[in-house]
Amino acid sequence: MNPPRPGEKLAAVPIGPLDGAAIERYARASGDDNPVHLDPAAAGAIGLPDRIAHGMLVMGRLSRLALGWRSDAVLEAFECRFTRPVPAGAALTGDGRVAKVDALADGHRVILRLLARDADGAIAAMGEATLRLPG
Amino acid sequence: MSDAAAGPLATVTLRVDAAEIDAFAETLGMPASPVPPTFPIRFLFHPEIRAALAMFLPADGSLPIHVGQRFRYHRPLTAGETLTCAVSATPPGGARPFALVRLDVSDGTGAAVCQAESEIAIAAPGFTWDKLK
Repeated sequence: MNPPRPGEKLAAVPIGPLDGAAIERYARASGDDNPVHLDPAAAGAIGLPDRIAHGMLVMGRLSRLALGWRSDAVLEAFECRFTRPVPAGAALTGDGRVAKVDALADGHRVILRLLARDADGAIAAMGEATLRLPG
Repeated sequence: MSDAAAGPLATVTLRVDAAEIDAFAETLGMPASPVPPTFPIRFLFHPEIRAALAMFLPADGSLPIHVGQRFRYHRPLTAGETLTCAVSATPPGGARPFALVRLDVSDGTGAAVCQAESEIAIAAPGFTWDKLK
């Protein structure tokens, strides 16, 4: 397999639609039943027009980009910043690129920058995955 | 969050349940093996950990809003294994606008498995969403 190069783009993945049913399934599976995700009235009380998707639902789906990039890569760290509320029903797209490559004695350490964007291109989440590649 | 001093709040021993991994992975459109890398967030919602963290949330209708998450992995999780999660929390203050909740996950030998750090905004009526940017 060719060594990674900074700037290399990752294949985009759909993240959604994050409709009410998807949010409710994630709430049950994760245990995160925060009313801001499940109750429009509770969301409205803190200034939101509707309930919002879990940031971790977005991050989890965004992780597919990193895991699907190279089959021999080992994920060492993964972080994400949730920059805006994602209303129920939104459809996001995840994309990413190789941001940094460091040579190691036994391979490479690679940082991937990952983004989740809404239909207008606005960034809803910014992620960074650190992976180790053998050889 | 209150102004209570930061520090360890609880230590919980739990089993990594295969059915829970299956359900979690399905919601993400991922296989259950390897265990999805964000699965450890589920440990944050263990009843004892929730109870320990609940005391930090003001009883004024405020809701926690997850604004950032970090994981560091030492090895993959395995379905069926028993892990220990130590949770600590630091309230917002000074230059830090958000609360920080940390989980340190280790196995039966005491070896580190992963760490998870969650940044949490406390949203009360009038919360300004621009704070997230």
